[in-house]
Amino acid sequence: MTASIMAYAYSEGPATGVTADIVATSTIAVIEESSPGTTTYARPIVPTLFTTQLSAWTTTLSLEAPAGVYACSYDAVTQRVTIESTNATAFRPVMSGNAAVWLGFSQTLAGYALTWTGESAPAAVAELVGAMVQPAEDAARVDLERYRHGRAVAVAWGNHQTHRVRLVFARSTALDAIAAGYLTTGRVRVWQCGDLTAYSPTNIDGYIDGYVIAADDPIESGDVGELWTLDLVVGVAR
Amino acid sequence: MSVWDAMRYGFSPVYWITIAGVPVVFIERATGLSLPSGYTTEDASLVIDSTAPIGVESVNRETGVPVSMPLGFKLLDTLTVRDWLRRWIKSMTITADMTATQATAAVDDSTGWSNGDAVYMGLERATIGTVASGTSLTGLTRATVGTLAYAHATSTTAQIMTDRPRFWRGREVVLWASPVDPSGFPTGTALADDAVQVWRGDIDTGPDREVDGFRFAALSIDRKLDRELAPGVSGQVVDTSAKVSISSGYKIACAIRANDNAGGYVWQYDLELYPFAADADGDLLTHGEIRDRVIAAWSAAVSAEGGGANVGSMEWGSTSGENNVARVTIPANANVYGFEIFIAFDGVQLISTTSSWPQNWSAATATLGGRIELGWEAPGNALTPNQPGGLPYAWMMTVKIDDGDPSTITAPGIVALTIDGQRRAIRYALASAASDSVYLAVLSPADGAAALPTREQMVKADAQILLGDEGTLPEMMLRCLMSSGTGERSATYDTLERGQGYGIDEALVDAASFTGAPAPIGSLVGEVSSAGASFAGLFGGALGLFRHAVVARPNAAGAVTLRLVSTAPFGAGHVYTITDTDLLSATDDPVSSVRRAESPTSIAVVRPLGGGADDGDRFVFVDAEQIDARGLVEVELTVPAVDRAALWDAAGPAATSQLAGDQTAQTVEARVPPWVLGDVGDIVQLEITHPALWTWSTAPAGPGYAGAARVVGRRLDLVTGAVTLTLLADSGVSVAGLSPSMLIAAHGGTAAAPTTIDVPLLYLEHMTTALTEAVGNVWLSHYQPGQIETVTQLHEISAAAESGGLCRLTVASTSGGHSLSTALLSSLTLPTLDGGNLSTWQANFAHVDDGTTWG
Repeated sequence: MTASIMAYAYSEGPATGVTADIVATSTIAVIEESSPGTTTYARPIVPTLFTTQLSAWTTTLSLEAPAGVYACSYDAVTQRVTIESTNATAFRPVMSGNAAVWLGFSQTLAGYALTWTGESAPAAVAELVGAMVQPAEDAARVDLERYRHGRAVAVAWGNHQTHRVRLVFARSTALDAIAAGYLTTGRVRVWQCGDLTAYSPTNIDGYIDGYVIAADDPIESGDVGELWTLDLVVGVAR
Repeated sequence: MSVWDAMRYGFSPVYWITIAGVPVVFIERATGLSLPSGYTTEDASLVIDSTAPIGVESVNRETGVPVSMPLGFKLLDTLTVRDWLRRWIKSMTITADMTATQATAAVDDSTGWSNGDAVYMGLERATIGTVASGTSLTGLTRATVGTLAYAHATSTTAQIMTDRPRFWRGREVVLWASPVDPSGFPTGTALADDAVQVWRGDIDTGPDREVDGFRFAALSIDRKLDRELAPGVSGQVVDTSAKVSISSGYKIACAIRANDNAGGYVWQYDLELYPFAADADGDLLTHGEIRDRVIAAWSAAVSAEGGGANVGSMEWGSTSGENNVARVTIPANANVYGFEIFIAFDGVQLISTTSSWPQNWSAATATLGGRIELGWEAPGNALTPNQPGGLPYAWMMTVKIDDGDPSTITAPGIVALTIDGQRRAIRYALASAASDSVYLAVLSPADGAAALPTREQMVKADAQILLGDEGTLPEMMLRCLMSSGTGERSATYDTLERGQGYGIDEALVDAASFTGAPAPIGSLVGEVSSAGASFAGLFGGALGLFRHAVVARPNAAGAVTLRLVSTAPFGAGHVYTITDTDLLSATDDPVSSVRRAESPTSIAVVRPLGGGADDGDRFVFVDAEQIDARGLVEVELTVPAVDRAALWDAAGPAATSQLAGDQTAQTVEARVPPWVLGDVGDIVQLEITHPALWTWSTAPAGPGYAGAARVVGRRLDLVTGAVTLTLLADSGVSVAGLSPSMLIAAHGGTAAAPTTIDVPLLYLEHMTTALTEAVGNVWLSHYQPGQIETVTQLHEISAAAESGGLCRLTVASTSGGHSLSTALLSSLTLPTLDGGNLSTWQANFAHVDDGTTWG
């Protein structure tokens, strides 16, 4: 696994059903060809990391849909999300809220198929050239910090430590995702390399999982325009 | 869960406001979502970034009203804003008064108006169904786009109908927040789907022009409580005679016939008397004036019938010593041997009299004085003949009022007279209005004096009719809040006349928080006079004494409503636990001490309308040792109680509790994120190590605080989302809410193994919260009066719900071998600390063995 940054999806549940509050990136639905009048919804019941959300969708859709057994996955190499039926049930995914952007399903979703793969990279994750996480700093004086990214407000609060993080990424693979906003506010997880365990003083190449307190504007490296950097301050609960 | 919870995950609020009567959603950025019903345009013109934090800074615990922060906002200079901030193009004037429910209107000229047009009348917006003619509108839909219906009268500012608002001040503003995800995506399909109400109030100033738009300032809805209501009706006592309200069409029909001695008649006339034809409906006339008008009407009727030769004039008197018996002069006539008289009073009451003599009327008239009696005795009101005499003169007065509508004066009430520079308060039980005066009767002293003033003292005295109300304090508060004079705000509480209340719609008042208030504030019976007084002036003393306040805060459905809350520093059943993790500390200390009002050393409780003859209406409670040390720091609290003894019983414990408890109460402000629960009146649990708080109750005492605190202020910074809570913590003495004692009303199953237990409904909220917080079953201890609750007699409760007006507890199991007995007053309380499955939430309440003080 290379360096990457991944967002958390906000969700209040319930796990299924059409009615839910604050549906932006939490919910996906499927309609099966054999039951065209039934739309099956799936969402995590609490805010979850993007890949955990895909697993939650997999479980719920397989449990609740009329016939299909589903698998929702993200391929870091192709940077695409795939939703597929593993028991040959033709279906069509339905994007709720802003899920199409979140998942990279920018195409028109019509007809039925066994497998659906997003045409674009998801906005929930960015594959990076590199990520540098500075040692933790005392953040006894953190606050609700506001910066203009649309009207996004980054938050953190007491009893947190902060990490200064520099993301290096390619314009072609990650700039759109970075610019979408999901990776520069709210809760994110940043992997520096292939170490899948959490950062600690004795595991300094581990990932950090926290709340974006501040973010600079992306800066172009050199004048070629291919590599960019972005500095974040991420607050991690102690 | 709401937009505030989502902020942790990068969501941000987009704010929008609605202004009553304006079908535009003014918002920070366009969303393209469906708009609320009645709103047609979304205009991205709202700027709120420069407003100070909004909400309640603190509660004035002496007046029971909050110190709420205003909302400042700007509307940018967009085409939509320009269209609404302009002079009206079309206008017309109503030519007849309109009620609040009337669907038609008479106007001077409807030229230019069309079906479906919106019209603005004062603060109300209505929609025209049909322009029926040049002077008539029909099918009006009243109170549209968030406005309320009012009665409109000619010769008032609301008589003009326009196509744009004529003024903005007083229009209700509601501030909402809708979530927008980190990419800028607004959630939901309708703007209101995930929105929360943040603030509600009325425009106070604006629009004030700025270079790029228009600035407004609005005051929170709870600031209304400080505004004075309409003044009392002033006037002068013109007389103290008994009076009757008359109708101009009142008719007295009199058939009078003179009989001969052969069974025939000599003459007969059917007279029709209209004694009040020259008066106005509702005019008040004394009994003497009524008799005079009847006399004149008699003569007119006789003349109209051409009977002057046979029937003479009428007079009131009697040959038998009785006053006010109707008599008529009849000229001598040798052919007449008797009379038949039939009188009908407006078709309601009848008198029939027959007389005859052996000799003719020429002979009889010598002994009868030439007059016959009509059988119509009227010692009091001549229109209610043959009834006992009228009320004693000392019990009534007529007040000619200076201005206003006498019909708005209702009984019972109080009128204040200024007699020789002294104020006398007099209660009246009957009020009857005339065109420019009101007749008040069944008078009694309302100021503690033994007797009313004399008639001579009352006549010519300046009078102020103090529009009054009476009932329990919560009932009077609700009537004061909701009454508009229209009956439209609430079927139950909009009962007072216009000017006696604030006319707040029932949907904006959490009535249950008032009617469910505990004793004594919930049960004390009072009497108030609202004239020129404010809600805070009328009820602030009672709220302060009994540690309550009325504040604007969201209800369970998320709507900002006025709610009666407790401000006592003690309590149990917290809604959130605030720990160090919740504190915001970037820009300043997250916890800071707040200088609170100086604690009193003396509390004076005063009954209004007292004084004069009864000094006992002022109770003073003192802390003598504190006065020795600090001097007199007196707080005077006015409580409009009717019963002096009841007030004494209630005020003593409340006042002494304040004198003792306020000495070590500490107030702090804590800055927390917006998702931290706890609004004004709520209890929160503090688990904070910050040194701005001090724990008095441990040995040794130390910095930080672990215990309950009362939220008495909550302010939200709209831009950052940071919330400042003002917290009142009782520390010197650890005081907790007392364990409930739930008297068992009934049970299902057997007494030894009940399946359900019914207790009073007031415990439903307690039990529901206990079960929710426990995330499972809770246990209750059984006891009977005289017994000590133990760890052995227990009931495991799995559910609580309303059933038949009671709180029904579902019993999962019973242990202890006891039996329930309603005859022996079996009761349930919380388990004790020494066992018995006490849940964490239940442990917040005081127990007999935990060393706390019951509050």
